[in-house]
Order: sequence, then C-alpha cells, then structure tokens
Amino acid sequence: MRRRLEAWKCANGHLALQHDPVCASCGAPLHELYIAPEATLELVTTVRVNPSGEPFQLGIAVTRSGRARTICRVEGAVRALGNDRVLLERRGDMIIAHGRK
Amino acid sequence: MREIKIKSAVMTRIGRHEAAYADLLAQALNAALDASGSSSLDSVCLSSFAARELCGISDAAALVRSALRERGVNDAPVHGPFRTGGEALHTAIERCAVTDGDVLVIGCEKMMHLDAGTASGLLAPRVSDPVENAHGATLPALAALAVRAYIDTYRVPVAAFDAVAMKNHANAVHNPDAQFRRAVSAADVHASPVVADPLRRLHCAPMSDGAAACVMSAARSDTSPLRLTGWGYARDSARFQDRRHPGRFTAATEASHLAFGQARRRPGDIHVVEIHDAFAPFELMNLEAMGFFAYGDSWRALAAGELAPEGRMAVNPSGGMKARGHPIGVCGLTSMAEIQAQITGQAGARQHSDTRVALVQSAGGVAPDTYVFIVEAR
Repeated sequence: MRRRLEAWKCANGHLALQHDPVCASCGAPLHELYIAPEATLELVTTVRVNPSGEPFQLGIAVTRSGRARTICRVEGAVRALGNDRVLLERRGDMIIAHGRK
Repeated sequence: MREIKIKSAVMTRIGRHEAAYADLLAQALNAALDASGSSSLDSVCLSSFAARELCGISDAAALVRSALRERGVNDAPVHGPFRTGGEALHTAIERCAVTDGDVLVIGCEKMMHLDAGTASGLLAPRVSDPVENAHGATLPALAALAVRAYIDTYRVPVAAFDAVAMKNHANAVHNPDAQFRRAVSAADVHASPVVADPLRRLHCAPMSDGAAACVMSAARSDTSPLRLTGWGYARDSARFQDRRHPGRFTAATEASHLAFGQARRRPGDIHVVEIHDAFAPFELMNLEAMGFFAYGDSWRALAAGELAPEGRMAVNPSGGMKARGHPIGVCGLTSMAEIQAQITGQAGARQHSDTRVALVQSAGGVAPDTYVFIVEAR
C-alpha cells in the first residue's frame, strides 16, 4: 500500500501527479520522479447523481511531499473535515485516496 | 473608445420547446431584428454550447445564415459558435470597435429532448478537464467541491443556499418567460434529492431549451436606451484541482475589476445584477468575488431581503439560471434581455425601482471563464 507514487516536477518546483506535456502552472518542461503516497484530503463530496448510477466519493488531496494538489476518488472511511490523512494510489487514469481504516 | 449601444435584447420562453433547434433560433433572430429595426448586419456572433453533442447539428452557423436569407437580410459572416453568451457578446464588442454596422448576437440551445443522465454523459467531456473526466467528475461534483471549500473557509450556513433558490424561484413567478414559475420553500429544497453533497437538486439549475438574441451597434447616430460602458474577461485554471483558492472565483474578481474600471463605477453603483447561479451557492460566491460583499457576508444581505427586486440591489430578478432556466450557451444573452427589461421599466412585478446601472456576468461551468458587462441607461 505504501508504494511510491509517480509524479512530475518542473524546474520551478511545481509538482503534479498528472503527466501533462508541460507544467500546468508555468509551462516549463517536466521530469519524472517518485514521491511518498501520504496526502491530506482537503475536500470531499459524495456524487450521488452520475452517469454510472452508483454513488462514489470524489475529493481533492494534497500530497505531504511537495504539496501537489490532485483530484481523486476516495475509498474507505474518511471524516471529511478537511484534514483526513490518506494514502494515494494510481489505478489506471485515476488517483485513488485510501482513507485510514 | 466607441460607445456601444444595445438596440434590442430579447429571449424566447425558457423551458421545453417542441420546435426544432433551427425554428427556435429563427424565432429569437426575428424578434431581435424586429425590435431593433435592423435590415442589414455587419456580422453575427453565435453562441451554442452543445448543438453538436445534444442535437447532432454540426454547423449551427449555417442555420443562422439560412434564417437571415429567409428574412431577406444580407449574408453577414457568422462567428462561432461560442460556448457562452458572454463569449459571443465579448466578440461582438470587438466587432463593434471597427464597424458602424449592426452586430447580431444570438444563442440557442435544445436540451430537454434528452433525459438528464444521457445529457450529462454527452456533456461531460465538454464541461470538465480530461483528468477530471477520467475520475468521473461531473459538473455538479466539481461545483460541490467548490462549495465545500467555500463553506469550510467562510463558515457560511447551508441554509443560505436554500434561501438563494427560494428567492430566485420567487422572482421567476413574475417572469412569463421563466421555466419554473412556482415558489419553493425551504422544506421543498430539503426534500429534493442530494446530487453531490452539499448540493441538492433544487440548488441546481435545470436543463432547458431556449434562445435569446441582441443587436449591438457603435454607430454615433444610434439613440438606443442602453449602452455598454464596461466589460472584462478573465480566466482561472480550467482544471479545478489547480486553483489556488478552490472556494473563490478569482476570474470573476479580475473580470469585474476590468469592467468596473472601464465604466468608472463601483459595486455600490449597481442597481440590478444578473449573475451566474448554475448552482445556488454560486450566486453568493460570485457576488463576493466581484466585490459586492466581503467573503462570507453576502448571505446576511440575502436574509435581510436586500437582494430581492424591491431590495437595495436586485440579484437575478429574472429568476436566474436556477428558475428562469439554463439553456447553457444562451445564458449571458437571457441576462441581457432581463437587463433591457429592467432599465426600460418593462419588468412588471419583478421591476427594481430606478434601475440605471446594471451588471451582467456570464460564466461557464465552475466559472473558469468569466465575462462581466456593465450596462447603463443612456
């Protein structure tokens, strides 16, 4: 579960979990690195009406290493108070935030 | 700077229309040209967010040209389709800067022939970034995250959002062109299902059919009663996760700053506001972003009745997107039609007394692109 997370960083220190052609903040080239998966879940909502018909939790998490902000699906229990500690995992095109048991 | 006049601003009834897209478009086009008395056009700016996705129309501009031909108007170039009424209006302003001819701005959308699930599936790739789309982020889901950030930062009670929905529905009762001409209570809002918490169905604007149009001119000889005195455009990060302040609409702040500066006005000068309220909390968030209130304070003015048509500053007297209706690409133009009615004293029971200066905001989705226009009586 504590597998390190693939991320991309530019020369100006902007860190992202999505592999864009250039840095979304400043347009500089990006290079790949691996960061610790620990993050804080800042925002979360339960999406009840969606095309899949199945409710799911969507959130915004900030990695503790480098403070990259990312959208994520949330799995497991969270208190949704803006300070849940979660572990991020990449699953296909999605970032999954696992709440602590 | 050339003075830009609004010769006419009209809209169809918003709601379900059996008429085809082309017929709805022609209805607004003819009404706008009738009202302005224009017989020739310099150009047309077309706004339609999803004609291709929802109606299978690959060339909406061709339908405009066809309607112009049927009316016997010259074959004016058609720009667009743009995604929002604001974007089309902004382009028309740029056109007015270099011509004395009339510029028609027209928007049309037909959505109600599809069920909500199908429509939101078709629209999803258009309203969110590919990364967000891969996570299943619908527009209400992203809006809910923005509202959650707003609540967490400014401690605004959720009941304030119910009050926005109630006010806008109460306003729409007096708007013969509105989609929902019925009042709702706090109990109704609470009884409506959760879409993405904290947003319930009655916090969300509906899908709508409708069209609207206006004719603008910068000709010196024009004596129309409305003039555009300021405008601004700003853009926030298209990807919600990259926003520095997820609970603030910084594009609205920047766009309104430009518009107020150009018009030499301050928020306190505005009598009527038509503002982006695709989700009820957005009305409060946008008012605060544009400097009408400090962050976290606008709900108190709402509770005190200051934002009602008979209040200090009428906000969304038409019923807003929430209750007047939400044909996506048309909304900035429907707002302009309401402002014309307010400034010319033709708004009936929703008339704000002594309207001389008004503001229109047009934004898309979770407000990444925002256009602001200041409209004044001549």
